[in-house]
Amino acid sequence: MMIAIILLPIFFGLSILFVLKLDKLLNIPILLALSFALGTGVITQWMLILGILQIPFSSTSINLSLSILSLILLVVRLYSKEKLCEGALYKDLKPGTKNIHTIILLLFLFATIVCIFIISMTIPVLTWDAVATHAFNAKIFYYEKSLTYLPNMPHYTYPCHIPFILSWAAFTQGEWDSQSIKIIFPLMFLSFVFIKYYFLRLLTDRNSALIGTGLLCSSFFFVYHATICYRDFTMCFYIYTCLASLCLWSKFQKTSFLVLAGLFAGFVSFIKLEGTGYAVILALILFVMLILSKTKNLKKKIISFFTFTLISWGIAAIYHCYKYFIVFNSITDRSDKGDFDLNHIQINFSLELFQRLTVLAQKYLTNLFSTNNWSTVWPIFFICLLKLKRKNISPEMLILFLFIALHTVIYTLGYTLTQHFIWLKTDTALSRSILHIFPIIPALIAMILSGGQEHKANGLKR
Amino acid sequence: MNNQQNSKSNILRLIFITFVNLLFILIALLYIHAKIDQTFFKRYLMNFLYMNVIFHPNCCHPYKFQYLNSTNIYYYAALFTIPITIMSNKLLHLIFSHTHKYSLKAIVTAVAISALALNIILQQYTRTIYFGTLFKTLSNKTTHEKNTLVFKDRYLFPYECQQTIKGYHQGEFITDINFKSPKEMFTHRLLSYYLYPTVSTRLDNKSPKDIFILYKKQNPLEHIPMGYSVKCSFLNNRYLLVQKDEAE
Repeated sequence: MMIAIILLPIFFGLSILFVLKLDKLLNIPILLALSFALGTGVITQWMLILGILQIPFSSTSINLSLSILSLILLVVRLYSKEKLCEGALYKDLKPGTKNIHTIILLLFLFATIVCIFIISMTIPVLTWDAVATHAFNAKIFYYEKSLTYLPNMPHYTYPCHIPFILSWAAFTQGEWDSQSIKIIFPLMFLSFVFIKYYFLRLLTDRNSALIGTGLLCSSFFFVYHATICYRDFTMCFYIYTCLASLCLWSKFQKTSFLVLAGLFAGFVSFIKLEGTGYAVILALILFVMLILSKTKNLKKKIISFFTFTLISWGIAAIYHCYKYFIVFNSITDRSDKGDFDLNHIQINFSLELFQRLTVLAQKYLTNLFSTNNWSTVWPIFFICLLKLKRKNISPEMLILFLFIALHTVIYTLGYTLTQHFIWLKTDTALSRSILHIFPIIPALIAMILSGGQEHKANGLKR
Repeated sequence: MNNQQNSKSNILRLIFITFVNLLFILIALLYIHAKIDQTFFKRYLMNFLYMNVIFHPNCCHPYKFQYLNSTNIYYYAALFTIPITIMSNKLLHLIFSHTHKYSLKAIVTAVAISALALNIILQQYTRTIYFGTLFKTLSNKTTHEKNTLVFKDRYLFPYECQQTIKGYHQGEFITDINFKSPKEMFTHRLLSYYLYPTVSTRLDNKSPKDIFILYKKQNPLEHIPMGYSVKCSFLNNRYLLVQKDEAE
């Protein structure tokens, strides 16, 4: 049933992409990649709804119902009798020159993907958080088949995307196997590589897109997290896809990209506690883009903003309302200080603030330049920044820079002003929080290297 | 066209020269460091090549020598390579006047590119070795065999319990160790993960509460509660699972 784990999310996601008519714009590889990403998000949201409605989890209740819904959406699209899978945005792209660098990069990407698949399917679940929380909670959902015991579970305040998707994999294959449920992560990695490349292909030339994708896969931390059952890899995947969709919306002004971005922003809120914060940041970025836009009138700006926020915050609201009105009400004693939650944040303006800032700066610099997390990506990025000219900063680059800036500011405030400073001191969370923005860096490098040549290279018009 | 070709070959020549210089300086730095640390140079080099990345979910740490780590060494090597390349460039120009004279900016750029390239190549080599070793150790084994290899008794004891105990139960640990310490906390999480669903120790799922697990308890047989009997014993009573007698 491994094939079902691969095909079902693609089927669910593809039906949504067809309804959004994104197949007219995107070609088949990125369509399949986006479908998988979308499908996994849809599956976990559907499981949440089933749990709230107290419908037992099973392969039938999850897969059959979603299949019927997806089939209906496909029929709606087919009824319109429009041509399928046109890939219009990629049709006029110039192929680019093939040289030794291209072949080396392609071989490197291929080797990395194969390596990820082999390693993920060789190593069983064995890392701390996976055994203690994600896979353990997934096992509980699999055997108990409901959300009934969520208030008694470890880290009950944490969103459930990863436990849900792992338990879904177990339901689909009919048994709990700590090894085979991990197939989700290498599939996500494969989707990520395709989304990364094909997104950059629309904004840069082929060589730069390959370099950006290659730099992403050169990172040890990024590649390692694609082989373990942690939430951070999925987090950076969805954040990047949301930002990519926003960039494509900014460039091509197609509402379907905005809807896609809204969906992924909503899914981000269901992965980790800070996901809700990211959904707000993404809405803020859209707000800034709309303020700066000179091509839209006020009515269109308002519609665009509400399209995005209603979708993203609507998805976030489902889980948060369930948590605060149902889960929390069923717990008599919530004094467990080990369970962090957004409503447990204690802000502390003390004299230690300057000392904390110093520790933060030192930890950041060490992490970016003296660990082996990121290969040489950050030094390359800062060197490229020195060469960047203001006139070459496109609106898409501005979106990505803005996200990095807001992420840095919010984490600086979070680490220095709240009790979360402990995670910084113990080196537990910093690398993982940087991982959330890391995929943006190779994308920016690719865009800077192509130096605004993408229009000449690709012949694309705004 | 000829000028472009000459320019390209000059750039390639410079990158090649700086790459070779960088490699020699890197090896020299490791050698000097090994001498200061009074360690065999060959072992230093092996550690640098095979262990320069330590994979961990929280951070991929570089291998730490006495005074350097395996990432910072590239920065030091690059710093030394710049003046050496400038001097060798000037010397070559003095001896062979037809050789191209490179500017400082070109040399610094070439050193940066060489350092980055060497770093990427060696790190990817380490990554390949690490993943290759993992694959060799764990491939061609079932999930049961892999878990046994990695976790040993912390997996085998719950596995034995799952074969012995019927139905779903809840259990508690009786132990002398502190499960709040990081190492033992992981053991607790691991045992709980593999015992579930037969015995649920971290979740009240309304199943009968009739199991105790004695783990690293001094004189464990003396601490078995009244009315409970041993159902599963492992490693000379280091692990004991006791269940309430049905008669009661």
